[in-house]
Amino acid sequence: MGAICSIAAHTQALGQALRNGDSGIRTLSDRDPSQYHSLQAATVPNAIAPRINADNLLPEWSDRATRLGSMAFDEAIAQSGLPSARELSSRSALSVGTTLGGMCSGLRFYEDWIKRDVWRTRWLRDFSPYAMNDHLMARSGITGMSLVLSSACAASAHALGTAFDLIRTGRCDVVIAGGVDTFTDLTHAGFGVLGLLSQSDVKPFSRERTGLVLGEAAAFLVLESEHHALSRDAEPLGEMLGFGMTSDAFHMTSPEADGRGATEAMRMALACAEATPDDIVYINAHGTATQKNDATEVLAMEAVFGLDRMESLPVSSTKSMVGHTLGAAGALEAVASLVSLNEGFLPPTISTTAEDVEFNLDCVTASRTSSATVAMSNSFGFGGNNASLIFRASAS
Amino acid sequence: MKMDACIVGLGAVSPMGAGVSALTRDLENRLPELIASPFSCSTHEGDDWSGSVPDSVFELDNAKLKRMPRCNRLALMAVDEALSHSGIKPSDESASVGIFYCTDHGPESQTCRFLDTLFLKTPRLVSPLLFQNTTFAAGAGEISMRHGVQGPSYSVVNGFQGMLTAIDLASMALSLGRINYAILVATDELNTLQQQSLVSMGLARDVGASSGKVAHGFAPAEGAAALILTSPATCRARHHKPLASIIGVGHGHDAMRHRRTDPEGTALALAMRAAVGGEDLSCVSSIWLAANGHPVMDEAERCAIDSFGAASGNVPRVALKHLVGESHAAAPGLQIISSIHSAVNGLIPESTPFSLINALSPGGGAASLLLAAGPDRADALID
Repeated sequence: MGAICSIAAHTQALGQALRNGDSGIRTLSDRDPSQYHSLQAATVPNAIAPRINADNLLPEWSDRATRLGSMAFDEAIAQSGLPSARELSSRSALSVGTTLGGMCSGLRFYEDWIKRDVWRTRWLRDFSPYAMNDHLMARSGITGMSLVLSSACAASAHALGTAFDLIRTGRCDVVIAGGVDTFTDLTHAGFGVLGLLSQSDVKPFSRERTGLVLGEAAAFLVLESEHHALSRDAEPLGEMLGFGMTSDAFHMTSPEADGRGATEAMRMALACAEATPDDIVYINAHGTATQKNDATEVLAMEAVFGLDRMESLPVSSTKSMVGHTLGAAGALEAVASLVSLNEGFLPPTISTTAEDVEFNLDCVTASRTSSATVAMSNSFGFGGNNASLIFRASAS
Repeated sequence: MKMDACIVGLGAVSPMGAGVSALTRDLENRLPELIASPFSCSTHEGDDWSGSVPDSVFELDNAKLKRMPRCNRLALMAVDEALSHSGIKPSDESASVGIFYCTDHGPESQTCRFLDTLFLKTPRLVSPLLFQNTTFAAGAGEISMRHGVQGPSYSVVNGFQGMLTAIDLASMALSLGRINYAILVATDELNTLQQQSLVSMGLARDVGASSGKVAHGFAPAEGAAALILTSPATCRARHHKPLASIIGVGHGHDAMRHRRTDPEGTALALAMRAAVGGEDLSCVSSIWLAANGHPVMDEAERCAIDSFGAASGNVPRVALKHLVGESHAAAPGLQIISSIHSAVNGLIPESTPFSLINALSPGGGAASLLLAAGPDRADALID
C-alpha cells in the first residue's frame, strides 16, 4: 500500500497520524476571504512531502496529481515486493479513480489563456485524467489494461472494486489500484457555491456539522490473486472480500433521502463477500459532515445492520482528519482502514465529541484499541454513485 | 470460442447525422475507398469539414437538456436509440442494469464556461449547475436518472479505447451476475479548447485552416455510440435477437513515453493477440482500424497488423475515420456499429464470421475487440 495526504507522506506515518488523531485541515493564507465561501483546506504540505516536486522520472511540467500519484504508487510497489517490470506485464493492470485528473495543469493553462491570451501547450499535456496512467505505466512496465474511472467521489472505490473483479474473474494476476485528486480552485469554488463547505472543522455525524473541507491525496494498493501472491511468497497486508456498487437515479448532487442506493451498495458488498452484517466489525464511513450525506448514510447503515447493532458497531470518518479527497477518498480510506486494523486500533472522527453525535451509533471519536479485522468502507458520489468495499486485515 | 456477451441494441450520433441509419447510409458506396488506402487518410485534408454533429439533429430540446454538456446530449440521444432498438426498459429491470459511460475529453465546454466565471469574475459567482456538469460522472448520472437505472455505474475515461475497455468491464459484470443488461455509451464533443489543444500538441490537423500550418494529424470530430449488452443466457431466456457477439477483448500499453505512441505498435499488437487469443489472424474477415491519419499512430497500427505475418495482408482493413473523423472515445463504438451493418448486409466478402475492432490512443494505450457480427452468426454461437 502507498498513501500521501495532508497528514502523512507514507503509510507508516499515516498509521501514526491516524492513531494520534492529527488534523490536516489548515486555513489558506494566500486567498482573499471575500472571494471564497471557505478558506479551509487539507492540502499536502511541502514540509511532510518535500519530494513532491523532485521526481527525476517525471517531466518538469507534470501535474501535481501525477506527482502525488507517483509517490503513493512507488510506495505501494516497493512494499508489495513485486520485483521488476517483467512481473508487471500484460497479466497486470492499473486501475485509477480520479475526479479531476490533471486539473491543476488545466487551470494553469486556462488562466494564462483567458486572462493573458498566452497559449502554453505544456500545461495541457497532463490535463487529461488518462495522462497520469501513461506516466505510471511507463514507470512500472505494466503493459496490460490501463483504466481510469471518474465516478466522482466514489471513483477510487470503484477502481478498487473493479480491480477486485478483474482478479477474481481471472483476467489479471496483479492490479495496482487506487486514486488521486488534488485541491483545486475549480472544486473549491464549486463546492462552495453548492453550500457544502465548512468554514471551520469537519464534524461528521455531529449535530453541529456544517459541511466538508476539501483535501488532496493519492493512495494505491497492490491487489494480487492468492495464487500469484503465494507463488512468490508475498506477505498479504489484507484481503479484499466484497464490493458493491449502485446508482441512485435520483439527483446529480444530492443523495436520495432514504439512502436506498447506499443501502443496496452495502448489501451487494455483503453478498459478494458471502458475509452477514454481523461479520462487519468496523465501518469507515463516507462521513462528509454535510447535513444530507450523514443523515442518509446513517439511515442506510441502519437498514443494513439494524438499529440495535448500530449502537455497538464502531463507525468513524477519517475525512475529519484528511478532508474530502474526492476521487482519492475510497482508496485512501481503504488504506487507512487496513493500516489501522493491522496496527490494532480504530481511527477516530476528530472534532466530533461523543456528546455531539446526532445519531444512534457508536461513533469512534478518539482512537480506540481494537482487535477488529473485517471492515466496510463506503464511498458515495455526485451523479448518485455508490460504492461499498469489505476488507479483512492481515491480523486475522 | 468462449462468448461473454451479446449486443442487442445500437445507437449512434455522428457527423453524418443522428441515428445508426445516418452513420451507415453511405457505407456501402464509400467502403471501397475506406478499404483501398486505409493508412493514408486524406478525405478531410484542406477542406472545411468540421466533424461536428449538425445542430439540426438535436431532438432533446427541452430547457434542462439544452443546459447539458454537448457530449452528454449526444450520449443521451444514442442511448435512447439503442434502448428503443433493444426493446429494453431499464426502469422495469430495477438494479439489474448497469451504465458504462465512456469519454476522452468529457464536458470540456462546460468546464470552460465555469472557468470563465472563476477567472474573469469571482469564485463566489460560479454556477452550481455548471459545476455539477464539469464532472465526468455527470453523463452516467443523467442516463441513470432519465432511464431509472439503479445498478452499477462506471464512468470510464480511457482515451480513445474507452468503449472497448467498457465492453470488457460490462462483460465481466454480466459474467459475475452483477447485472443482466449493460448500457454502454461512448461520447466526445468538439469544442474550441479541444481542437486547438490537439493541434498544438501535434495530434490533430488544423481542419479548414487556409494556412495549412499543420499538415499531418487526424480530423477531430464528435459523436456518440451506444450499445446494449446482455449475457447469452439472458439473450436466450428473454428471446432477444442478438446483433453480434463479443468473443474477445484485449488490452495493451506500450509503457513507453508519455503522450507518445510507440511507432512499432507494441501496445496494439499485444491487444490484438489477446483479443484473437493467439498469433493467427486467419479467423478474422475484416479489421476496422483505429487509423485516423496521424502518421505515427497509423504506422503503429500497420506494424501491429504486420507483426502477425504475411497472411495478415489479405485481411480487408476498413478505415472508417476517413468518413466520420476522429471522435475519440466514440470512435470504436461507431466502428462496431458499422462492422455489424457491414456483416448484416454482406458489404465485405467474408470467409469467417469474425471482425476485429482496433482502438489506439496517443498516450500508448490500445485495445482490440473480436466480434462475431450479424444476427445469424450471433444466434448460432448462442445455440
